[in-house]
Amino acid sequence: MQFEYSPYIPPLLIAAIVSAIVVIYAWMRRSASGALALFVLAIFVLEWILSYSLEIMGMGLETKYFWGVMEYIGIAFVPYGWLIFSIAYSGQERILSRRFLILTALIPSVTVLLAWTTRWHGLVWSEYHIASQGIFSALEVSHGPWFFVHLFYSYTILVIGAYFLVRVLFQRKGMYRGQIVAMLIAVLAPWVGNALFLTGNSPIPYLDLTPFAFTVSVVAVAWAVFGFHLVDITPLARDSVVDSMREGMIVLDVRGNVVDINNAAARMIGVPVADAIGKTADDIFSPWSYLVERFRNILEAKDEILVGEGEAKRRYEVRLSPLQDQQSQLVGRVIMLRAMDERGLPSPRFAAEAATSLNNEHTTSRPESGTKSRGWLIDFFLVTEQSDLKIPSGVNPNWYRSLEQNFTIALRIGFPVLVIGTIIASLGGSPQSLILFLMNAMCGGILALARRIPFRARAAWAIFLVYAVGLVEIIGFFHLAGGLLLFISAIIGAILAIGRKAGLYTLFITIITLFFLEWGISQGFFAPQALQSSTLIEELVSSFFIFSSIASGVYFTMSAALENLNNSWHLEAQAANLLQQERDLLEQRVEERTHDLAEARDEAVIVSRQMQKYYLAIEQSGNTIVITDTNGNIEYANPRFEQTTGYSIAEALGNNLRMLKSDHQSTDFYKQLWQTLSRGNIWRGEFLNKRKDGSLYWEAATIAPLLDQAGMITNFVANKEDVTESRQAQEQLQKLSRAVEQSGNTVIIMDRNGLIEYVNPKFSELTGFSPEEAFGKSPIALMNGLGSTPDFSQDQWWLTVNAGGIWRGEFRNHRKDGSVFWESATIAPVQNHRGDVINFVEIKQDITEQKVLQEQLQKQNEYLSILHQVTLDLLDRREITDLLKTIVDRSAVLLDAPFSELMLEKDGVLMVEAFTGNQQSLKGDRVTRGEAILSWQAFDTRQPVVLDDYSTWEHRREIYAPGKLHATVDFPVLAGNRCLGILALGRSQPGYKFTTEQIETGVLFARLVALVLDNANLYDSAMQEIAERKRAEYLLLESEIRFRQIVENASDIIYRTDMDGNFTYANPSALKLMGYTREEEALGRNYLDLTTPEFRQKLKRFYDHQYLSKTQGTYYEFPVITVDGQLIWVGQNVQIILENEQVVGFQSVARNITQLKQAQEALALSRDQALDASRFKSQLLSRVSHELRTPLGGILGYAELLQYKAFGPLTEKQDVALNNIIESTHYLTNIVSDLLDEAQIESRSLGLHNAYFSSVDLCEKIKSTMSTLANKKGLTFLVDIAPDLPSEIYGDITRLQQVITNLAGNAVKFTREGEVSVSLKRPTPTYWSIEVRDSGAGIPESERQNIFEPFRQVNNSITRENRGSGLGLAITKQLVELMGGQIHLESQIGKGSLFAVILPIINAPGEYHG
Amino acid sequence: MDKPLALVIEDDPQLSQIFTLTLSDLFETETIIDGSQALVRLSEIVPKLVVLDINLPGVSGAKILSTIRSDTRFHATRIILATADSRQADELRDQADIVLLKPISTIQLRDFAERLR
Repeated sequence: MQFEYSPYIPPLLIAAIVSAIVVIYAWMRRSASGALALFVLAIFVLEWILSYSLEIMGMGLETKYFWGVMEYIGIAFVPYGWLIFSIAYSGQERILSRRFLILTALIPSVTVLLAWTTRWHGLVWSEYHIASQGIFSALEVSHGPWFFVHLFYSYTILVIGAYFLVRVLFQRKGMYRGQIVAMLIAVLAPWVGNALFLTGNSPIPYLDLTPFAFTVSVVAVAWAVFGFHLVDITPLARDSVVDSMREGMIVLDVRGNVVDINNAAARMIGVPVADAIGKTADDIFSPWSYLVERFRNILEAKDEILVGEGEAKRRYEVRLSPLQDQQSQLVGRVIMLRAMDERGLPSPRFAAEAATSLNNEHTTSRPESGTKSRGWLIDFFLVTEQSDLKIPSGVNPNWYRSLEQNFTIALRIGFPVLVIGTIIASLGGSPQSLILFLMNAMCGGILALARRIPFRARAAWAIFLVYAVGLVEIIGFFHLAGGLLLFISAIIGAILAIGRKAGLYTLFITIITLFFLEWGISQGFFAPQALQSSTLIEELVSSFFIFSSIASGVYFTMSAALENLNNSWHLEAQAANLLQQERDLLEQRVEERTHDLAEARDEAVIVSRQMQKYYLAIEQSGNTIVITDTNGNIEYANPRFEQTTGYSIAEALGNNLRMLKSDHQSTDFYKQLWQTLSRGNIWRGEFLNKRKDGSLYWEAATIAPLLDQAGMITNFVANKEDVTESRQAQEQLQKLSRAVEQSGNTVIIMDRNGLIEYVNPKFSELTGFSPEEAFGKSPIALMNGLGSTPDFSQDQWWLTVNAGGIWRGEFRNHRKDGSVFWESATIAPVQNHRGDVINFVEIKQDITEQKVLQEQLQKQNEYLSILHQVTLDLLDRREITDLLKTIVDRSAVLLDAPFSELMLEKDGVLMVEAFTGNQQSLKGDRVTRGEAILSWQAFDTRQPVVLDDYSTWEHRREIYAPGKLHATVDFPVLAGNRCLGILALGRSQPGYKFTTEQIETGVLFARLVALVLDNANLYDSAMQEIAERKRAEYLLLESEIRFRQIVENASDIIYRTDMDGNFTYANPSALKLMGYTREEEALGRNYLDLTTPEFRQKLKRFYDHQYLSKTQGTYYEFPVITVDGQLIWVGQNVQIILENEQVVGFQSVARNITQLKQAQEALALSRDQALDASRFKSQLLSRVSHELRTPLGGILGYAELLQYKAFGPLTEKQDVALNNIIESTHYLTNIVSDLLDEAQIESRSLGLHNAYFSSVDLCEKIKSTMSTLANKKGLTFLVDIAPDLPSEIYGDITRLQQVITNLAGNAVKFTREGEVSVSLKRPTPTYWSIEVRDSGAGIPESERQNIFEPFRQVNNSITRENRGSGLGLAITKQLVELMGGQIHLESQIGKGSLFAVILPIINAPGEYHG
Repeated sequence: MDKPLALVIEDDPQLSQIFTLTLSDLFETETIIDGSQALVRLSEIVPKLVVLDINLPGVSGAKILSTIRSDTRFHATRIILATADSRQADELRDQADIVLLKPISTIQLRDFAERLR
């Protein structure tokens, strides 16, 4: 491929570089909204530009064709990228699904594929060839059908994208709007160019204006990017404005989700910004959910909140304000948080700084600017350092700063290009272009490096250079696009860098320049190089107008955009200022409020001190003071309240005063109280209230309403005094006066002179004198009808009462009607508090009736005195006959009845025991039932029976005939319920009846008789008893003396103690032990003192136990320290002493048991030792047993195995030898067994294993073991059992077998011929026996004694025949004795021997065995 | 028919051999000389007959005896107790099937063993 230089390359190259910068920038900011889309778009644009540049520069059709189709990547995808960008930028990201992206990319992809293959199908280009215009050559193509599809599609999505941006344009303001305008320019420009090119209206034939339009486009993008921070406006704006605030800001949408939050707020709530966004308010405020609840549905609020605990506690001011869109629809809420405490409170200085930075230091606050060095070369080209720029007023400083910076960057990048261009031009270019380049390079160098020159000047200079280059271009090539574009660039530059006016001037200058140039050309003053004269005029005119209109359009658009930008910046600045002002205001308010609060607090302190005094006064008041609310609920009560009511203050608070209501006062009373109070008046009155314990009390209360400033009642204050006492006194007085009024007694009050002042109604009732008649008179005068007051000054009563005493006496007075009555009177002086007598009170009682009764009583008394006399008389009689006689005589006198008899009941008959002298005929009379009917009636009914005239009574007895009895009475003589007999009385005087009183007297007398009779009997028996008692006492005394002698002389210690353990008696032995000589010394001492201190508690417990269990006798041993300091042991028997079932003490007989104790201890010691020895022996035995028997087992075992040919056949001799070994082993075994048994018995470690066994079994076993042995010797062996032997015997069968085997074995051994027999018998019912009889040689007399001793045999001879351990009989004897039996031996020399074992028949323990 | 198993638990090697030889034509015999080993082995096998010494190293014969008697696996196991101590013999008589006091006659042992088989 070959390429050539084209004059269109520089602008394309610049456009490509800017595009590349945009690509890089957008990539670095790809996280921002729309940045990624912009990146894609810029990539495609870059591709297009580069491909087009190469197409233009390419030589030959093939090269141009290749780059021409390569352009289609950009051509096809730029609209696609544009669509995505505009959608993303307008915030509609959700549209951009993967499917959407793929579908929309479908047609562009097809376009690209078709373009690359169009050579073969012509769907995109149907024909193409190179078209040249001067030095410019490009492809000229005829478009195929697909191209128009692509075209249609591209324009469609262009329009759609434009729609999104325009929509956003009208919704947004400020910088965002500026961005959109820039973007619209950037995108519309290429399409305008494209449209011109496609419609053939391009000023230069074949030249595609589209890429050139990209210059505009890219400038616009650059403008948006660097001027308005296209890509990072959102985060930057937020960072700079919001994050610089110390106040926390949180933006919530309508659903309560966090859509934005600044650093300060994130710090306050402790959640990173990135985490907080998108969460609900509930989530991020979860530690303070109560706050969320508090502000949940509130749109606008201002409040203070407290967050955290302890050290972390912070006070925040919270401001809530609604966020609304342009239609005033609620879109969310803004929460502003501001720390209120000292640490969080921003200082005014800081606020000022913040304001400054908002206005001026905007760009410097960006984190990446200026602070970080990235190498001097990059720093140089990217112009990171700041210049001291003078910013004209009314211009956004950030914008202006950025403009200057980017201007410098462009120049610094452009300067080397110009230098290179100059070098190339100097090598082969025309001198004209060399000069141009040189000039440009020099100027560019100065402008790029000399930042100290004011920006406006530099900008003007640069614009002039652009203008100059454009002019040269136009002069050289006439109106080829390059020159015109430079002109337009100059205009735009002027507007941006210097201002609208500068832009306007430049516009005019360029238009005028062009006009003059064209005029010059048309006039032929000069001719551009490549001008075709044929089309001169028309082209001049049309190109002039096109330029003019484009330039004007650019100017106005730019102006409008700038204007808009500035306006929005102003608005923002204003808003920032407002924010600041509001913040300052708030600050001020907080300070004011703090100050106010401090003042209020000081004031409150003073007031509270004042209040404290009043409060103390109220607290300590003796009156009850209660403050209630308007409903009567207690808000305060002083301590007195507690004392008065019994309710604690805690109980009272909040309760209604009604709780004290006793319900004894009417509802009207309370109604009146409330009416008074509710009118605002003070109420005074008395309450009858009820205490907590239910008691009532009176309170004098003053209740005053408390009014607030508005005159409304807020509280009631009750000041109450307990007046119960005075009230009670008053009531008492009332009661007393009522008592006097209603008294049944006469009450008269007299003055100091004894004249009546007051009489009670009873007086009038009694005497008939009205009070009026009585007043002023003396009672004596009044009631004795005396006209004047008599002189009573020496009367006894007057003297008594005047001396301050109380006089009691009786008066005989007259009523008004003259009748006489008796009065008993009490006259007392009444003294005032000084003790002066001021009145006299006379209380009188009508005693007229009493007087009458008294007289009757007197008569009765006379009777009684007679009775008394009689009684005394009777009691003196000791002789029963005399007594009875006296009774009848006295009764006759007492009842004034000459006939009297006394009958006593005996065996169902009334016997006459005594009678008056005039009734001798009665002597010995025995009255049976049916004879003396009246007497029996009295006897049966126990009531006196009275008859008025006996002489005329039909049942009268003739025995009484001589006496002429008339009135009779029969009294039963009653002793309790028992009737002893009858006292019968009779009168001889006709018509003289017994009065009721006389009968009553008679009844009393009859009782007396019974008493006297009883008494007489008692006396007799008492005399007898006394005689007996005397005898008994004598005997007792005698016995006591005896016992005392025994006790006193006893060597045992005998003492008694009381319940507390103090001695009440101690015998001489006890005294001696304690070291006393006389009993008195010991008495009162405590028995506990006797023993050692450590034993006292035990001894005490012992007594306590005996006392509690009331055990009669116990025995206890304890140590005693004797008087000489010796420790002895005492054993005592203690009895409790009982009196009336109560334990009153202890009685103890103790003995010195020291020696006994010592003996016991010695015994215990030796027993322990013996036990130890026995245990040792037993272990030894066990061991020996094992050691002896085990080897025997080996010998026997192997021998037997040999014998049974287990190890092979044996010779006859070997067999014999083996037999000998086995026999010897058996023998040795027996000896060992015997020795061990003996040893065991010796060591008393042999135990019997008793159980029931069958006696027959025993015999069978004996038979089976012994028969063989006996038979071997040719002896007869017999076993027999006596029929009366129990079939089951309790005992140790093994040992019994051993006994019998031993005896029988011996018998067999020592018997040569005859028989050996074993018989089991039962000689007595409680014993059984084993008899072993033989017909052997017998045992000589001399040997019989020793035969049961160990190692004894008859003759002591040891032969093969009778060899043995010599222990057999010894063991047998010991075993038998162990079983509780005996062994006997009977023997006759030559005849044989008999060993008899006698054993008791025993039962298993705890069991009765028949 | 297989011969039943007899376990001879006896620490004296000679006696152990004697018992084994005595029983060998009636039983499959196995000898153990240590008490604790015996318990281990008994957890694996159920012998028909156990000839048990009392004085054993490790675990005592009395303990082995009570272990066997308290385990239902050994309900058919017969035990001949061989002891040198007559008192121990008396004490354990109830738990063992037969108690033999050492020295033990092989004739007797064989006789009893045959009967118990």
